[in-house]
Amino acid sequence: MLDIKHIDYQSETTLCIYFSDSIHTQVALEIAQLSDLIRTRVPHLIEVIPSYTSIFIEYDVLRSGPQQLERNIHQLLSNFQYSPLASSQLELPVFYDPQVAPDLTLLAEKNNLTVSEVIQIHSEATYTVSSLGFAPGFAYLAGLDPRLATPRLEAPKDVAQGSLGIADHQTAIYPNSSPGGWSVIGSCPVKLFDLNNDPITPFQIGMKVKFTPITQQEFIQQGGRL
Amino acid sequence: MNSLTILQSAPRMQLQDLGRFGYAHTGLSQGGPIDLHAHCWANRLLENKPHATTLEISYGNCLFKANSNCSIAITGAEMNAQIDGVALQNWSTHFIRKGQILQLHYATKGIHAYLAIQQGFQTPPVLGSSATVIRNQIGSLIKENSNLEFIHHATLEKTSKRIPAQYIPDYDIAKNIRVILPIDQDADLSEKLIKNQFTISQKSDRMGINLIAAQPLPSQPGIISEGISLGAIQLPPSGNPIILLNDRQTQGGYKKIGTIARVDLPLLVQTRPGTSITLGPISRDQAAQEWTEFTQFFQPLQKGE
Repeated sequence: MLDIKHIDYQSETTLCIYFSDSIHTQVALEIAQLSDLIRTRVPHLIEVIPSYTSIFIEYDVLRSGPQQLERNIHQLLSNFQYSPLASSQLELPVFYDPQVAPDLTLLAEKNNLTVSEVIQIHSEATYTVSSLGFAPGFAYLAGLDPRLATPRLEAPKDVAQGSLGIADHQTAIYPNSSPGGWSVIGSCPVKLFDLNNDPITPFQIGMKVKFTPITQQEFIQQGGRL
Repeated sequence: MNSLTILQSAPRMQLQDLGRFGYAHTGLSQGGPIDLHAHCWANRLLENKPHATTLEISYGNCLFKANSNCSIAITGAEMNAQIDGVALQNWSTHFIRKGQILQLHYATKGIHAYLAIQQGFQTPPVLGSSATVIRNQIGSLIKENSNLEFIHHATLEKTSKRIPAQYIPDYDIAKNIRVILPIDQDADLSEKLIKNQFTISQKSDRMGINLIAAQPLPSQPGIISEGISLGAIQLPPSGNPIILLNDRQTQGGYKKIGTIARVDLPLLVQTRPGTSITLGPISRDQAAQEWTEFTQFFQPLQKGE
């Protein structure tokens, strides 16, 4: 059950509606579904961006305004009921190896684990896509085993395309090369963002994701680069 | 198809229309002209729709050859344009004959100039927009020897149209840029923001402008990642704010301490690195009113209207 905690009027064309002060996967899934509803039902909106705890809206200043929007959204919310989706599962191959994962050894040390324990723990879990953003095809995955939780790096560095990273209690793949502050523990050879595909990314909020460890040979065969 | 050939390119030359709207929830940045005011005027001078594709030229120094007659408009930063060596006025339309050479020199005022052509440059749209967003791998920088295509074959117009003088900004004057402050923000933090002096860092691009604060602002804890407005001011732990622009990431987790009024962004982005600026408060209502006037003047500014 979603409840508006407060609304922030960030600029002359945007507002942000907050539903929670902390991250809960279920809240994120409900927010994503409500955002889809807002996007299709409320007119004159330019962007509707769900996050873990909020919905950010940019509106057309000539045809809409904060009061009208608030009314529309309260109305939608009063009739909103979350319907759990038959969630699909995506299996992604990952080459967990220091050759492609500069932080794997250090992350294991920091958490008093061996590298093979890290791989085992990470690839046994099932994750849930709880938010999309930062860059196209970047999916924030919830469900990381607390034994692997590791703070962000002190300063961002260049991260290669396909890198599988960990930051705090989240894990995610960088679909493109980018500066980033997550510890990299593996690399996925599958392309996760392609403008020629519709949709442009296989990820959807609510989707389950599992990682399968692969060998160096399989990694290369599937298009991975060392 | 008619075309202009690039004989020499400027470093970050790229095609832009108003932007790619409605995809931010998938992680795509909107893109769009970094100086919306200059882009819109370039199109308006040629009676194009504001969504027509223009060429954004940063810092200048480039050469074009016309492969057919065309009508163009140049606006934004002063790049002392010439056709076959004859000086042109900025913020105006011009006629170029087939075979003539258009030259834009290094910018002497401002940073970004816009080259518009009648009916816009033709390029296959991606998700409804021609906006180049390099960090999303959409479009590419325009390099030497490439051709910019257009449809309209112009016949000679004797008079050059120029925009009324009162609409031509002076990019040289260090500006007081206006900012909408969060209503519930700690008064002390707001005061430290508006009483400060900031220098525009060299580390500024289409994603964001880095400011160096004369008095570093007090460090703020991070927030749970959320959507980011155009012009939002993020405050990372360094105490030096970042103003987020067209190619910004769609979500971010640094605390936001204000948002630049949209009508003031064109002045801000034309201000050169090393320049000192101040930030002054504007109410959200006043900013909304000025933005409404801007969009009414140039509408339609949203695609699909």
